[in-house]
Amino acid sequence: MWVPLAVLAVLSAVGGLLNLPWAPFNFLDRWLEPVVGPYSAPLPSSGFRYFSAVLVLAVSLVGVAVGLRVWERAARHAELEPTVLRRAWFIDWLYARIIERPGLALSNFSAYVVDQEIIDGAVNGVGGVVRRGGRSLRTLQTGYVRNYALGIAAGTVAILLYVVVVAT
Amino acid sequence: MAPGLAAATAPSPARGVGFPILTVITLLPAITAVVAALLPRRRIEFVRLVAVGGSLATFVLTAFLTWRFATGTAAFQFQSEHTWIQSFGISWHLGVDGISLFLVLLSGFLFPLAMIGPTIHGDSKAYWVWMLVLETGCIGSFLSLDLFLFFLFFEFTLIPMYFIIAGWGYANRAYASMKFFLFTLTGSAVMLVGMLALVILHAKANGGGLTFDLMALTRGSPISSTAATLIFLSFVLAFGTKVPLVPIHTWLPDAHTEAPTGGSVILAGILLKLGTYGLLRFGVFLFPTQARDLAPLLLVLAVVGIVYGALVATVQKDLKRLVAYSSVAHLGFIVLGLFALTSQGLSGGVIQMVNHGLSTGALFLLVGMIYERRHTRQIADLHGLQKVAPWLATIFTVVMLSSIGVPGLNGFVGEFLVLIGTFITHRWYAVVGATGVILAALYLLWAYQRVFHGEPTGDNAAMGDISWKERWVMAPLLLVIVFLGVYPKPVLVRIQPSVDAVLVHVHDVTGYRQPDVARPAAAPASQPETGK
Repeated sequence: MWVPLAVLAVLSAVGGLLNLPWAPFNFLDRWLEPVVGPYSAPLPSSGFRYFSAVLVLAVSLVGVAVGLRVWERAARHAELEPTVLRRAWFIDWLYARIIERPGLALSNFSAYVVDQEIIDGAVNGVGGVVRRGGRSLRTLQTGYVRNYALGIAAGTVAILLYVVVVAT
Repeated sequence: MAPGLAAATAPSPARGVGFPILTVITLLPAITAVVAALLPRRRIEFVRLVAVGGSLATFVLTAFLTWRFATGTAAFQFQSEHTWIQSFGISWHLGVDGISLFLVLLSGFLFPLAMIGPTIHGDSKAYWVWMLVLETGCIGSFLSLDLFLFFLFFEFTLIPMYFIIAGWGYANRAYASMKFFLFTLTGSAVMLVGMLALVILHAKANGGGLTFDLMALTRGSPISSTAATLIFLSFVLAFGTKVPLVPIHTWLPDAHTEAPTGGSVILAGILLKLGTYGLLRFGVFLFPTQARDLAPLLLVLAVVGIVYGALVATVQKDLKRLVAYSSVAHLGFIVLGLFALTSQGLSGGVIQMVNHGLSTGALFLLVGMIYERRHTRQIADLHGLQKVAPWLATIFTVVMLSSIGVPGLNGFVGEFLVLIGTFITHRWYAVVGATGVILAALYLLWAYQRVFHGEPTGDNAAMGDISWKERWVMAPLLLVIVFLGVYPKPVLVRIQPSVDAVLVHVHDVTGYRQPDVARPAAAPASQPETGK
């Protein structure tokens, strides 16, 4: 497991060399030029640049120092570590409540209520209606000639009535 | 001009090959199927030799076709045109352009893998015969330039797929195969009415006889816009069922899960693309006005499919069903790109059809390999497979990352183009669609974690790794997945002219112009090279 860590450590140690203001490191400025065209932003004065570099470095060092102090004390007395730090700013706790649980609930609702019950229920419902309709229509086909004859007679009477009453 | 190129359309700079290559590619699998069917079942090695040989020969021909395909033109190439039923204006008219080329190549590529790769339980001779028949149906659909011929091939794919699911599928195969058949048939019955209406109304509006020719139908005076809208919607219903669009998708999880591995590979890899291909070739191309006006409807359905498919996939308990639902989400991306009506969106949609075929086809093969060893697909029953099957886990990881759309693998190229193309014309659809990329990572990585991580328990500890044969089946898929991710240009330059021709055609008919930012610098929209 130490190999990837070693690779990452080496890269992060020397990665800062990329794009130092001297050749051959300063190629990143023009890296995208073939695609987006030449572009040069006006640089702030060199004094400001040195000031901001030193400021950033100083702030980082102070941050490291503060972090070390807090951690040292807490490492010796775990009970002194504030809950908010021990629970990592409650990020996981919030994530579980805001993203994970509602997301899972929505997914389960979509999969097992909307998809299975409503959409597929409608699909299978259509199949069921056709099946039941066919089953009840099947009872008309009794195989008795007298039943069919009765149907034909009723139809004839209906047509005759129509002709006599409506069409004349 | 060399033989094999019909003079009926604009002269194209394509090189001929001296024989009607498209007709040969279309019919070779069917002829092989007939030969294989006539061979005795007791000489099964010989039947396999013929069947697999036929599909491999088809692949070689599709590769040859791709090699000889001329770039820089949108015209249909290698056309074959023979009058078939003169009184109805029906002809055997085949042609290939940048949109269909790679779908034909993908078919040629996936079918041999789907025939060799999975273990076949039951009558393998009949299985190979149905697969070959299916291959003819798929390739014929992609190559047809005649509506009647297309419909014939489109319907023709149903029968072999029905028998493959019903004959070689899993426990619930009878229900799943019938559901698949009824869904698709209902949609295409409505489409048949639409096609007949289009042909008859077009003949009435323009005088002269009936014609089912795709190119002839785009010329002449248009039919009334009400009729055109209804016909367009009938096409959307048929192709939308095939894609599938939410809410007409519920045949898919059942059919994909119950189908045998090879059937799932073809179902997801090729048959779903008949839907998106149809939407583009017959929807957008025949009805540009309706496609433009009703694009919001399709875009909404696409975005709903992306998010809904991903959400439902997340909580599936069956690994194969999870992959099936991921198809709903991925096909949503393709539809999104097609109806964004920009160069990037259309190119992305077309290349994503190929990408989805590769990555989801490979995922189904892998899930099949797990099932062969563990006889279960329940995620809860699988655990720690990474320890006992490192080869399987490695290949699964690469394919999964391709499906998620990680840069450097093929899925990224298509999804990225689709999202750019959509963002230009329909910003918020792209924003919502982009969440689908995150959700894809969620459901696939979570499934991977549950199935492959940890210490193998129970029967999982006794599972073996995949065989050398299975590694050789996966190798070409991995190769193409990586190649298309690193260097998609050979594919994109062949797709681009045809896609731009569609947009020029839309512009000619409707006056719709895609925003300048979406237009490739080399091809201004007023350029009259539409390949008509």
